[in-house]
Amino acid sequence: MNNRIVQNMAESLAKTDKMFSRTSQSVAVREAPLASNLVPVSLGRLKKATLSTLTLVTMALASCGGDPNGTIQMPPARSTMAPEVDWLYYFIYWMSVVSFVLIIGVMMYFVIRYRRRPGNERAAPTGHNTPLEVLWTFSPLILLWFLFDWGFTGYMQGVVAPTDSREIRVMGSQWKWEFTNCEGIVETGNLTVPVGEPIKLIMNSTDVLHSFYIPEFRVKRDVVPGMYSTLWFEATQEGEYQVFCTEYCGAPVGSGENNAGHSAMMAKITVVSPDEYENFCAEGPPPPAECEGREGDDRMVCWGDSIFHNPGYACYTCHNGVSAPSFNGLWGREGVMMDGSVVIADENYIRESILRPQAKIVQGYNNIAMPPFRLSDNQLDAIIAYIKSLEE
Amino acid sequence: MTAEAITHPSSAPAGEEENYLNHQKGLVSWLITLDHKRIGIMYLVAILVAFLAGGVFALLVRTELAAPGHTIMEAHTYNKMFTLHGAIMVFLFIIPSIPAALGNFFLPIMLGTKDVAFPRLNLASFYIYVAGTIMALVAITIGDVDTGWTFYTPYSSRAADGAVVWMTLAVFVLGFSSILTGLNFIATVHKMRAPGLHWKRLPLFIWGMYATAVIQVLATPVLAITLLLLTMEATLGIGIFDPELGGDPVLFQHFFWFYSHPAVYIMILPGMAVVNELIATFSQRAIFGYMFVAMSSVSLALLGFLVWGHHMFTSGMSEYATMIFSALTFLVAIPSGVKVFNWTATLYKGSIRLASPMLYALSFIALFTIGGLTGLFLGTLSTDIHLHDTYFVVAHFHYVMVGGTVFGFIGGLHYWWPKMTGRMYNERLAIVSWALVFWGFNQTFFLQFILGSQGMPRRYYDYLDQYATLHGFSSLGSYILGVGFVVMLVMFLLSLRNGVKAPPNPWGSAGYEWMTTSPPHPHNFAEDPFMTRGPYDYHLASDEELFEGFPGDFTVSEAKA
Amino acid sequence: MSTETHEHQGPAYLQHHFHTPVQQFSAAKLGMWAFLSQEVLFFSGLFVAYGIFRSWYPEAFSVASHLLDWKMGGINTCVLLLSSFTAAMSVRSAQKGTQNQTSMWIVLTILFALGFMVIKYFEYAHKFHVGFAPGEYFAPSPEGMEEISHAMQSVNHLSLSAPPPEIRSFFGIYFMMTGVHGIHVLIGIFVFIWMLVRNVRGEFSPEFFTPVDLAALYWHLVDLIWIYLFPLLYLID
Ligand code: HEA
Ligand code: HEA
Ligand code: CUA
Ligand SMILES: [Cu+2]
Repeated sequence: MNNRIVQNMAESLAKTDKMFSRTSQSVAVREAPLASNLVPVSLGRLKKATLSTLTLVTMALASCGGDPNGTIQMPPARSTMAPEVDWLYYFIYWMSVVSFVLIIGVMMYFVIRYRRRPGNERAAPTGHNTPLEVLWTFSPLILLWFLFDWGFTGYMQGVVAPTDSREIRVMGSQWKWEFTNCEGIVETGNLTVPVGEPIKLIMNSTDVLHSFYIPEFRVKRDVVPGMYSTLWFEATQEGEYQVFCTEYCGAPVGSGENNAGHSAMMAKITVVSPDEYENFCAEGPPPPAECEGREGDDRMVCWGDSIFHNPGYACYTCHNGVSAPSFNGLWGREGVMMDGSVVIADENYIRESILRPQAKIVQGYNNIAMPPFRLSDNQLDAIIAYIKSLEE
Repeated sequence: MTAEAITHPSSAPAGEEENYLNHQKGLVSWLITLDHKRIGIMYLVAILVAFLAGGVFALLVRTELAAPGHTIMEAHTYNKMFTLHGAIMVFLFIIPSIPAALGNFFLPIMLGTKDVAFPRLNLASFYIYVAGTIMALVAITIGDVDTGWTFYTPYSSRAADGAVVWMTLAVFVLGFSSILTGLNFIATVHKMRAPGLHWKRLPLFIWGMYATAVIQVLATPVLAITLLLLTMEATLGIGIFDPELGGDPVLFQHFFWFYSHPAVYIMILPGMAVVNELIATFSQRAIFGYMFVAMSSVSLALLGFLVWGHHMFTSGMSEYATMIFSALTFLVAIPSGVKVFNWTATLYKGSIRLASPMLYALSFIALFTIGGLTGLFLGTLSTDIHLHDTYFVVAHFHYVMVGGTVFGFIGGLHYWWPKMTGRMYNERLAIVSWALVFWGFNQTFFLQFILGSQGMPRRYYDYLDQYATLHGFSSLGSYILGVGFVVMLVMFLLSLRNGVKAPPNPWGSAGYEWMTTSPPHPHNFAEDPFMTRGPYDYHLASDEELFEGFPGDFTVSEAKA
Repeated sequence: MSTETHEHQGPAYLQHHFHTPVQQFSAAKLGMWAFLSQEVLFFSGLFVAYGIFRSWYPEAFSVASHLLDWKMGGINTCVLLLSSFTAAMSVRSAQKGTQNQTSMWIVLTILFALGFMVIKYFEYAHKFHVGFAPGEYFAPSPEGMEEISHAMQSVNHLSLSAPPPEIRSFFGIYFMMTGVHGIHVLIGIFVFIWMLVRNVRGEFSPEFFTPVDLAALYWHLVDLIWIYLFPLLYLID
């Protein structure tokens, strides 16, 4: 995969080189007579000196694209897509630097050379030069077409996810990110993914527009209510990466000195080895930060509470005693099922109800088709501890 | 016959000449005036106040961003600040700036006519602008306008209080002011040209105004209907933009940018138009490739209608649409390039004087080129995905809007100041303020390119520590920029108080507007002019016309001595 | 060299900044055309929204178009066409200098325009009565539900099982389009009243009839827009 991209890049660069030399040649040929009769020696040297310092300065500012450790202009390149984007970025950058230096250099030179002074009160009448006009009207087109083509190719790679991608659901809402990972594990504010594997995010918003942006991966996609948008990437190095929301989504009133709203709608992507990822899916995420520092049962209850109130699972929307049994006083109670059997709400019953919700339905409730959830054993224990704690 | 013979009436009254400022007195004579020059001045004052207000909001924004974490306000307040900054700068300042103020004043003079085609409409447009401004003030005072200047749905349509609706309606009303100005200019350019002023002699400033007017008339109504739909969505919930009601938020973006991309050419074309005049005058030379420059304005106006989708590359448009919009975006670079190349070529073998307006013109070329070239990073699909909605975009558009349009506007203000007020200003102060503005501007916004490519998102109240240094220096730059503008304001006020009296043609320009007195006669020219040469025919203009100069300036007699 | 002075010898209606009546007339006419193009683009936003929603929700739009009274819409189309004719006649008679006839044609135009508004009022009143109000006020009454089921029968080739919810969006767009158009008609009425006043004052002559001409131009555009609105909203399903 990586090799292919590098090869692509080499090819496009070869193309670029050719194109570059062709255009600059033709420009040089056309402008030669003009330039040669303008440049007096001293100013020529001055120009050369400025040019070379400028070049040095910019060289110092920028190294080449695709640097996994980042450059002055670009953050570390840590996805398979990133080097390609960086190459293109630096290509446009150098193209811009060269055009800018040429245009402004010539302009400054003219300003100095033709400044008004005794003997130069009257300008020479302006002539016409239609070939020159046509040249500078149409020659940039070649370069521009090349940019367009390169950019579009890269973009299409970013749009079409490989068919074997691992799918993860992303839900944006004011002002947090939630992920449904490992086909059922919900994470908030952090997404754990394996390195070296294409990941496809299927994203949706519950309220207003958001946008999912990972600078290190060079990917970004708007998250729109009422519509699914997708984004894919393949991380090339383990580590923690920043996620930003880049579509303005407001802020609450009265947040005081805290960062809040759009600018606080951040998340982390934790890229781990495939083994660690397997482990993660089996074990589930660790308890949330607010439960840290607690011990034993207390910690488990806190964790279970946070799962129950996590909008990603949204247990509370149904388990209110109306649509589905409430958790209050549930523990250890005897209940009559639809098929008439009597069951005690113990650990096994609760486990089954979460993992295979349709197995037993309590009499007096409709089967509202609760979806099966995938929770790790630790999470299940936490929920059980939480339900126990609600015993009256 | 020389142009000079027509326009310096020998019958000028002794003592003070009659001019548009002194022929009627009193506030009421201003408020009900139909004179395009006075309307232009009223517009000028209004937009400078708007600029000041927008600038104050900008400095509040920069102060909050000077250091990470809470600095002077909370997140929600910050969102209001950048919204008001953007909305005021765009709708109250930059769109009317050059056309409605300088254009109003100079378009009829440069056409050799007494007024615009519809003077009453012109005054109406001013009062509509005032009404829109008042509505915007109401919006600001009654509540929270925190949608960003782009009013994206469903955030804007679900805003709880009426302030957003007031703001939308204010912009709706302001749009009509802009449409009326454009309509007036189109009719004026077509029908009111002085005898002898055929299309190929039209000053390039007029060509730019004309192209702008076409966009104003054709694009602004789409914004109007969009905002009307948004208002209805916010008040009645008609279900066009809100997905919960069966609408589509991306449709709003299409509608909004269908106006707002052409609007960026409403902003830049007038700036370019001014620069043409400055370059010609201060290098004493006709603009190289006149017809190419004129046509590039028109083609920018037309191409500008086809590229709106480049603001939406990450929004979930079809790949097909994305491809077309990217390709067309590159096409827009061509006419801009044509202008830059021709301006540079104009300098060749000119007689160049680095007076303050010329400094602004040259800065314009450099800064606009930077802004335009960075537009190419954004038009390129794969790089835009990374750069979209980061500070790279913020830097891009400040380079084109401030480095481009504002520099053009300020340059034009310096250039035409003697004509409008009849007073010269202190050139030394002007150069000091130029240097401050130029330095401050680059320090503020160049660093933002790096912030952006490093991933700093825009519209962020707070940021990670890794961005702190660049933000700090950027804020520092903005204060330098602000000081530069204050020095400029002082300089202009001093000029009004005790500036040297300006001669008719202080810069030695061959342009038509310099053939009348400073300040101009109430009817622009004491006698109806008849154009016998083009506005850039320096080789046809006499020494007396071009080197009249003003005391203390470099004149031809000095040169000969 | 030009020796023209500022004191025009021209007629009273010639504004000081024009050289000749012809110049004044052609400037006004051009300005009006620019204004009309602006109007077209203003409405085009609505037409585009209509087109997009129609392509998203074809069933809802088919059903909903049957909820509009094509007879009333048809009558209104005729009324507007007639008013366009009378407006054109008012220009013609102003051009000929027959002041009284001009007044008559203008009055007729105003009457037709008012007629249009009255019919529109009855249509709106009925829509509100059965609950087809715009936006959040959309709440079909039992009567409204009946109309919907009727409408669904007329499109039973679509074999819909339930009324499509996007009928609400249709009415949102319907009220936007006809409402904005109605405001234009109202403005037209005021413009023609003003023309009537000026005509009675004797301001118009075969040499100067520009305002009537422009008012009629505007009116033709308002008419033209209705010509598009009517089939799009009422007829095609
Ligand atoms: C005065 C206003 C102005 C002007 C003139 C421009 C000019 C251009 N803009 Fe800019 N733009 C804005 C104002 C403006 N823009 C604003 C306000 C926004 C953000 C809105 C928001 O989201 O809030 C924006 C955003 C914006 C985006 C969306 C970015 C994003 O949100 O992701 C894009 C993408 O394509 C873009 C592209 C361009 C291009 C290609 C040009 C071109 O017209 C530039 C052409 C000029 C040149 C190229 C330089 C001169 C040419 C040469 C020297 C020739 C030689 C060189 C070559 C041909 C290579 N602009
Ligand atoms: C014409 C348009 C314009 C102009 C001129 C400016 C000028 C400035 N802008 Fe901005 N800006 C926008 C248009 C403009 N801007 C827009 C559209 C946005 C996007 C908003 C959004 O996201 O919704 C934006 C956003 C924006 C941001 C990003 C906010 C964010 O995303 O969180 C920042 C941050 O640095 C910024 C800073 C500045 C600064 C420091 C100036 C400085 O240049 C200002 C300096 C000016 C002054 C200090 C005034 C001084 C005036 C006088 C003293 C009187 C004048 C009188 C005479 C000279 C005679 N602007
Ligand atoms: Cu979510 Cu910004
Ligand atoms: Cu754009």
